[in-house]
Amino acid sequence: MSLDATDILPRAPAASAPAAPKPRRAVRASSFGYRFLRSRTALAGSIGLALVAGAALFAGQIFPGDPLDMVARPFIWPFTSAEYPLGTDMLGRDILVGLVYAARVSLAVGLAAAGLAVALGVVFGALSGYFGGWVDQVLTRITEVFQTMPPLVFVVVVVAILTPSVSSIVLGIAVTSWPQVARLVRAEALRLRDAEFVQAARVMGMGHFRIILTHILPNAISPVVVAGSILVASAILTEAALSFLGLGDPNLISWGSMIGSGREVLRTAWYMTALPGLAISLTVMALNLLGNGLNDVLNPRVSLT
Amino acid sequence: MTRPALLDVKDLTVRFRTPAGRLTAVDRLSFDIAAGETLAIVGESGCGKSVTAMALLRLLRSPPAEISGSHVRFEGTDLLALSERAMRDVRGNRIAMIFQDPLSALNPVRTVADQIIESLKRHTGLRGPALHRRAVELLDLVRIPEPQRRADDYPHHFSGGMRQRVMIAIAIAANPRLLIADEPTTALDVTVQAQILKLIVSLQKEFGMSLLLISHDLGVVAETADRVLVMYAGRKVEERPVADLFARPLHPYTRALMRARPTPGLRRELLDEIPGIVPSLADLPPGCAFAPRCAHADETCARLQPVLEGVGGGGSVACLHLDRLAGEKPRAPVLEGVPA
Amino acid sequence: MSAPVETPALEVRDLVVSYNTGRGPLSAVDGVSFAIRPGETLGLVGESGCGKSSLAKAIVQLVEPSSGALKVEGHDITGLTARERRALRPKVQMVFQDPMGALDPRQRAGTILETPLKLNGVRGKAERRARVASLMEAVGLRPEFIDRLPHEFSGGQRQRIGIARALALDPAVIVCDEPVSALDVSLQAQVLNLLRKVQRETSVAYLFISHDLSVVEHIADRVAIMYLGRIVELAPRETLWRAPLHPYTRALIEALPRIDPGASRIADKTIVGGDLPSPFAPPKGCRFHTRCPIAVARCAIDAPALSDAGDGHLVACHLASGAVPAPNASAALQPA
Repeated sequence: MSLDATDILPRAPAASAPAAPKPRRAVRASSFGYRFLRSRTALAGSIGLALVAGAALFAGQIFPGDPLDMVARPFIWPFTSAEYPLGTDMLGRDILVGLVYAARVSLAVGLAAAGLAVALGVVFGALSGYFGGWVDQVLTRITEVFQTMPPLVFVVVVVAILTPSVSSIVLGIAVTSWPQVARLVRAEALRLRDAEFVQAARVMGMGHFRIILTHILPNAISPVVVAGSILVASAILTEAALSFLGLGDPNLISWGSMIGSGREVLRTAWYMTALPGLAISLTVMALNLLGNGLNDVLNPRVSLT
Repeated sequence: MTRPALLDVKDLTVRFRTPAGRLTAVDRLSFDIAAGETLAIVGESGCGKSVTAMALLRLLRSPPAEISGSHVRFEGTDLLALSERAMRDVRGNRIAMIFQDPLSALNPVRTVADQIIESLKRHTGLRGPALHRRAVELLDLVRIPEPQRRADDYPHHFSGGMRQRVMIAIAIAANPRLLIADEPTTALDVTVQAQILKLIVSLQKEFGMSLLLISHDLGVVAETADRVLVMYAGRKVEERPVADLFARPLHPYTRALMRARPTPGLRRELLDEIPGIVPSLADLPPGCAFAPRCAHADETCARLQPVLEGVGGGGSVACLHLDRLAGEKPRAPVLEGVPA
Repeated sequence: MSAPVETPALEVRDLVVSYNTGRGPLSAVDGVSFAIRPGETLGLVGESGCGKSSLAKAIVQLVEPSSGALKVEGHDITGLTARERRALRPKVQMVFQDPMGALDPRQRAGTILETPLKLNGVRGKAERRARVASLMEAVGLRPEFIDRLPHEFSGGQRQRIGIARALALDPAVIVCDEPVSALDVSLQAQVLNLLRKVQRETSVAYLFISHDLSVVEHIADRVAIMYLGRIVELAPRETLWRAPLHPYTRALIEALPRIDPGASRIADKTIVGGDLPSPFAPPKGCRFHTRCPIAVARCAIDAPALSDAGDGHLVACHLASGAVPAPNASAALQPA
């Protein structure tokens, strides 16, 4: 039997001297921004992500022209030419330009798929957790149906039926990943719906939907944000896998399609596969770092050192 | 107080290292308990009373806790100097403890008999079928009806009061010399609270145990204790025999606590509030910790920390204005309530 | 009973609240009646499982009563449409037990207090701000606290916000559900005094629920004692304290710890034994008879009715001398 200091200490110092000017500082020390900056993981993840996002946003400004243009002789190895620092592929396309443009597709797919999954999951989870009863029964069964499908296979089927395009890929990924979010939000809503502050809102005449919007969701959002950033990462991976399998959008260049086309010359020019692979790994790692970091930042019980 | 002290605590200090700085949860606390005696420590949340109980048994995780002091002498041995291993033999054996929340202190997946037997095995020479027999005896001793049948039930089959009885059975299994009861009835209903307190007091007599009762409730303390120690912000402010304390509280904090409490049968329109709130332990005023809320305080109180002074009858009080207060007519509500 | 007939702020008649649980049906409140007049405090005392929380929830419409009537300022709110009921909702407000849990941790004090105003048609930001400021002043919170989050307040201050929120809608009744049991003695006194001050200024009626008889004895004008879903005794505070008639009330008073070490020691007390019987299978007859020190054979068969023992003192006990079944129960239920 033993105790944490937190169990027995009288009160958090911030709460125990509200009249003094001191807590003001403590408030700031506990604010989101402050904690975010103090969390090295969150910071590292967001810096990495900002680089990728910057490249994607300003690809047109940095490298005007079409990334699919053949600009030089093929098979220039990386770090051998000053003009094409990362070399060219078997058709003479600039790999650096390709990577930068591909970031657009990968990030767009990742964000859109995660966004859609979070939206679906939040709606299903909040309704089923808050209302409980038969609403919960029905919604949970639906969630389970989607959860039991093997994700990649399901996405492949969806994309194959709808013909490969960015939107069909986004839809396929979102449809297979929203149940995770729904379960998270349901658990939070279930916990919060009996909270006294929710009862208080009902006593003052607040409607159910307004309660969900103003009390349930804001208090359930932290784990969703964390899950969302991890979802972006896994969506990027899924998109890469699809492109690799030839189910990507044929009109757009993505990291996955670069790997897919480099596959044929893997023995002679492995860099064509390795470079987009590295881009995926770094981006996914940045997103995971951000997710883990946010988990610490949003959870006030974790002290950041 | 001629009996030799069973427990003798001198200058016990507990500090915690926290992100907000080092704070002193218990500050140079000294007290003793004689064999068979009941000492109550009373105070509001955060005054250090539970930390004291934990520190005696060295149950605080270190870090963040740092325990220091001259000594915590129990049956002549300094507990602060014992190895962790030797300490384990003291815990549950010579000193037992019961807590506020019996449900979380009991293992939910084992029967109550098993849990009593575990304590018997560790602390007594009993073996074999005698163990179960003794477990049933103990359940009977804590007045659990049909002990033979209830012994093999799980904790969730019992009501809150019955669970606390099970906890007491486990605690007395090893025939301890000192029972520490940390808010043992706070989670219970009034009639059940009275049953449990009565049980503890009668077992104490039967087994000749000493009792250290930690409570926030002045009423519980008044009905149970022989001596009372009042704590505020980690420090002892008053320690008196129970009759003296309630007949004539001396420290302004003790007085204020009594007057803030509703007194049945003596209705006052408004209760006497204690203004302000308990100071943060991380940021105690340099002088008397109660000075900012005290009606009697002057600027000396804000500067000087009062020391404990004897007041006769084995009592002591830490107040710079003790002389003035001791000369005053006592103002406990018991004696001056406004009849309707 | 000479006072002119006044519309009670709250009238509860034959209220039953039952739940369908996994362990079968449970009657948490089993036919409770009382009335509270404006500016009055009715204390409701009972131990856990007696149904006091269910009663509170039914009154503030968090749970649907199974039967019975619930009148707020004379308007029956049972059997109304959702819309009609919504209009009456502001009239009954609640102060909760856990001052931290009752406030949304992510909302600032100003928002918490503004929300009820917004919901109930106080238009205009300026008007709402002014009302919030006056509410904060009324409960003794400084104006600069308006932008603070709940965790930046002390326990007592949080409960002040809870009280201010309940007052925001000018209610006729506030149900106070154990409002001070989570607080230390010194904060308890502050909150109890505040409740009394607020009542003096607004004439709001309180239903003050507590397990602590000494707190209720301090704050209430009349006190009702509840046991396993029923009211067993209801009397003016002074009468209940000095001359309790029901054996359960006597047991509660006897069990109450007293600050008088010379006269009242736990070792010398006679404490009622036993535990509360399971509310799923309440005893037949008088529900207290299994623990009652004076029970006779009849108590196990007949359930005693709440009868008038004179001067508005109601008691449900076969053995309470002087209690005569009130021919006109409704008259007896009116506040004295």
